[in-house]
Amino acid sequence: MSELLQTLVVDDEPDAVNFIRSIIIEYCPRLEVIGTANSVKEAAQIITAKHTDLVFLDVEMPHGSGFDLLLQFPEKHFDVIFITAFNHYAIQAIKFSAVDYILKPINIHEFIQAVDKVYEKRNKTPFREAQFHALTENLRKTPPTRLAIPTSEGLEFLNTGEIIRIEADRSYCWFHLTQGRKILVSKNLKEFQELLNNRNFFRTHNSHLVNLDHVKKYIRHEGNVAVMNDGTHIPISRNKRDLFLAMMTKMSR
Amino acid sequence: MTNTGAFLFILLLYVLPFQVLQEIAAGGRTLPQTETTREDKGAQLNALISRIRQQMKISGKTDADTLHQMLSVAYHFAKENDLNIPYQLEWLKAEIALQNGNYYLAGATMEKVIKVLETSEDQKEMVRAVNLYTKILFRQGEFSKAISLSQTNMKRAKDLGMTNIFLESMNRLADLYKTAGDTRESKQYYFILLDDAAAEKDTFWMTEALFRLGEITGKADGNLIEARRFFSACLKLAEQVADTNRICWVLNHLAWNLYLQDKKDSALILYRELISLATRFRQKTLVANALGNIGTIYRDKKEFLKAEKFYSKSIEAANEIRSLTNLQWIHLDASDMYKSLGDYEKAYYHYVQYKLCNDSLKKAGFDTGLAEARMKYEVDQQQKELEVLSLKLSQQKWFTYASAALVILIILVGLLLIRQFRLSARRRISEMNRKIAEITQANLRQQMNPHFIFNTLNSIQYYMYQHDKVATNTYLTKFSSLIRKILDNSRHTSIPVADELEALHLYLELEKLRFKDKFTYQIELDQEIDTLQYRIPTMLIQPYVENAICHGLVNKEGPGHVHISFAMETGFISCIIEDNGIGREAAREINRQKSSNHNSLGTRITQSRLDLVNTLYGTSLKVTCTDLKDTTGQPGGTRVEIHIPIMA
Repeated sequence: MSELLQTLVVDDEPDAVNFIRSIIIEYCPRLEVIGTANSVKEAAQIITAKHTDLVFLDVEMPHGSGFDLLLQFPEKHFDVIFITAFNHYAIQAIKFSAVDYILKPINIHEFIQAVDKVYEKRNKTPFREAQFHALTENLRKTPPTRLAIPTSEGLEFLNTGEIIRIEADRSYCWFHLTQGRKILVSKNLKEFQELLNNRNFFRTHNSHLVNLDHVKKYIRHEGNVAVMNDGTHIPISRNKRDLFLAMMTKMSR
Repeated sequence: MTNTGAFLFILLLYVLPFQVLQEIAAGGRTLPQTETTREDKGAQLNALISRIRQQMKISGKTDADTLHQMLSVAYHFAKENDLNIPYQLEWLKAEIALQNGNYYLAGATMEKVIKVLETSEDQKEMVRAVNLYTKILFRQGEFSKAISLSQTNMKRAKDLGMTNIFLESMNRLADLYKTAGDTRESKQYYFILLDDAAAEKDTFWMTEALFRLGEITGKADGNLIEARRFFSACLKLAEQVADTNRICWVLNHLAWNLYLQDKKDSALILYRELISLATRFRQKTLVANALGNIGTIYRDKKEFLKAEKFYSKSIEAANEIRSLTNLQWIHLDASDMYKSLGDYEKAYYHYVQYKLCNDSLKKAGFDTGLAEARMKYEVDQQQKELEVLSLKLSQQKWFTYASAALVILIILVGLLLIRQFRLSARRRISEMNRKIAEITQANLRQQMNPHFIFNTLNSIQYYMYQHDKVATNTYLTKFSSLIRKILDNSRHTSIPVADELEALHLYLELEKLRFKDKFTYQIELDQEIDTLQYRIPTMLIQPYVENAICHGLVNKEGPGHVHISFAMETGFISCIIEDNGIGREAAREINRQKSSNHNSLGTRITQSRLDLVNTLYGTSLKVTCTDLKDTTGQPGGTRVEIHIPIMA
C-alpha cells in the first residue's frame, strides 16, 4: 500500500495539534497531514474541500464535540481516531461501538498501534456508517446499549437486551440471542465481560457470561444451575453462587 | 321382637291405614249431601295429619308405603275440598321423605315450610322446622350450610328456652364437624354439649356426648385410654337411668377398645357380658357383632376351633336379622382365618359371602340415597375445609370486626414505626454518605502522596533534560494513566479487582522507575478470582504496598523485593503483601530519628476505612501484620495479610 493516507488533525488546542503533527511526521511515514483544524467548523470546511482518509478528532471542544463533525458527514467514508483526555461516558460509548481512540497525554506506542490498526482495517470494514450510527446512539444514552461485535462478515450491532448469554469457545465466543439466534464472535469472552461489567451481566462460570435479566430461575440442586429464558441450563461455579444470588436479589428489589 | 310385638306391628301396619282410608272416603262421600263448612274440612284435614304423625311414631321406618299412601290421601283430600295445604302436611311429607332417604325432596319441602313459617309469629315452630331442615341438609351432604344454620338455630333455641332442640343442634353441629373430618372442632362441640346437657340435667344428651367423645378419641385420635374413660363415664350414666340400649352399645365399644389395646381376655369377658345383656334386651345386632368379635379374638389367640364355633354362631345370629354390616366383616375375618390356616376352600366360601354382603350393602346405600350424599360429600370435600374455616369466621362477626380493627391498628403502628425507621435510616445514611465522602477524599490524598507526585514529575523532568523523548513519553503516560485510574476508582466505594490490580501495576512501575530498580515486584493472582466480577473496597491495598516500599525496601541496603498475592478462599479473597525489607521495628526507629509523623496518617485512615467498610457492608475485613525473620533470626521484612470479603 504505497498511497499515503490523507490525514486531518482536529483539536481546539494548537499545542495539541502541533504535537500530533510532530508524532505523525516522525513516526508515521504512511500518513500525510493535509490540514489541521481548531474547531468543528474549520474541520468541516476542510473535509468538504479535500479528500480525507483519516481524521484525528478531539472529543471535547468548546464549540461542538468531535461527534458533531461525524453527524455532518454520514455518507463520507473516512476513518476516525478519537482523542480524549478524560471523559468517562464518552470513552464507554466509544468502546461499546468498537471505534478506535487514544488518550491524552498521548503515548507514542499507542498512537502508532492505532494508526497500524487503521491500515489493517481499511477497506475491510464497510460498516463505518452503521458504526457511527451506533456511536451517536450510544452517546445519547447512558449507559450505552448498542454493542458492536466483530463477526466473520464485519461488525454487527446488538442491543444488550437481546443478549441472553455469551459462551466461550476457546478464544472465540458464541452470542446466544433472543429468538434463538446464535453468532460466533472472534473475540474472547473476557473482552466482552470488560465491556459489559456492571451491566447486569454475570460471569457464572469460566466459559459463561449471562444476562441476569434473562435468568428465569435458579436451581440449587444438580450443583447450582441458572435456567435462562431460552431454556438452557448454565452452571454456576461454587465460588460465584453467593455473589450470583446477591445480584439477583438486588435486581428484584 | 316378641310375638305380641310382631302382632301389634302387623296390625298397625295394615289396620290403621285402612281405617284412615275409610274415614277419608266417608268424608268425601258426605260432601255433596250435608253442607259441611270449610272449617270442618280443615279440621278434618288436621285430624288426618295428626293421625299420620301418630302412625309415623308408632311404625318407625319400615312401612314407607303405608305412610306414602296416607300422605297422598291427605293431599288428595285437600285438593278435593279446595283447601290450602297446611304447612304441617308439608312438614310430614318432608319427614317421610327423610325417612325414605329422599333427601332432596325432603329438603325442598322443608324450604317451603320454612317460607310459610317466616310469615307467622310462631318462633318456636320455626326453630323446630329449621332443626329438621339442618338434619336434612346434613344428610344431603350440605355440610357448610348445615353448620351455619345449626349455629344460628342453636342460639335461637337457647333464647326461646327450647332446651332439647338446643342440645340437639349442638349435637348436630358436633356430628357435622365429625363427618366433615374436623374432629377437633367436633370434639369441642361434644364437650360443650356435655357441659350444657349436664347443666340441664339431661342424661340422654350427656350419654350421647360421652359416647361420641369416646368414639372420636378412640377412632380419630387413637387415644384408647382416654376413649375408655369416656365410655366408662357414659356407661355409669346409662346404668343410672337404666338406658339398656346405650349400655349395650357402650359395652360393645369398651370391649372393642380393650381388644385394640391387646387386652384380649378382658375384652372376652366384656363381650360375654354384653351378649347376655343384649340377648336380654333383644339387641340382636349387637349379639351378632359380639359373637363375631369373640371369634376374631379366639382367632388372634390361635384357638381356631373356638374361633370357628363363634364365627358360625355369629353368622347364624346375623343371618337371623339380615344384618349385612355384621355379616360382611365376620365373613371377611373368617375368610382371613381360613386363608392363614391354608383351608382355601372355606376361605373362598367366606370371601364370596363377604363380597355378596358388601355388594348388597353398597346397593342398599344407593337405595337410601346415602351414597348420593357421600358422592356429593366427596365432591365437596376440598371446598368444605375452606368453607368450614371461613364459616367459623363469619359466624362470629364481632371477631371479624375485632380482627379488622386490630389489623388497622397494626398497620397504623407499623406505618409509624416505618416512618420512624426511615427517618433514622435517612439520618444514618446521610451520616454514612458524609463519612464516605470524607474517606474518598482521604483516598485521593492517600494515593496521591505529594512526595510521590512531585518526585515522579521530577523524574520526568530529568528525562526531558536528557532529550530522551520516548522515555519521557512512557513515563509521563504511565503517570497520567495512574492518575486517571485513581480519579476513576475514587468515584466508587468498591471496584472490580481488575481495576485495583491495574492501579497497583502502574504504581509499582512508577516507583520502580523512580528508585532505579532498587527493588523488583511480583503480583501473583489466583486463577479462581474473576477479577472483573469480584469487587473490593476502593484502593485498599495500595497504602500497604507503599508502606512496604517506602519504609521497608528503600531503607534497605541491596536489592529488595515485594511480593503481592491474591488467593481465593471461601467467601473472601486473601491478599498477602510481603517484603524483604528492614522490618517494622527498624522503620519505626528511622522515622523517630527523622522526627516526622507524616505517615502515621496513612495507617490511621486505613483503619478508619476498614471500620467504615465493615459497617457499610456488614462484612468482616481483616488485616494482620506479621514481622518476618530471615534464616539467621534477624528481622527480615514484613507480611501484611488482608482478608477482603467479596462484595456484590
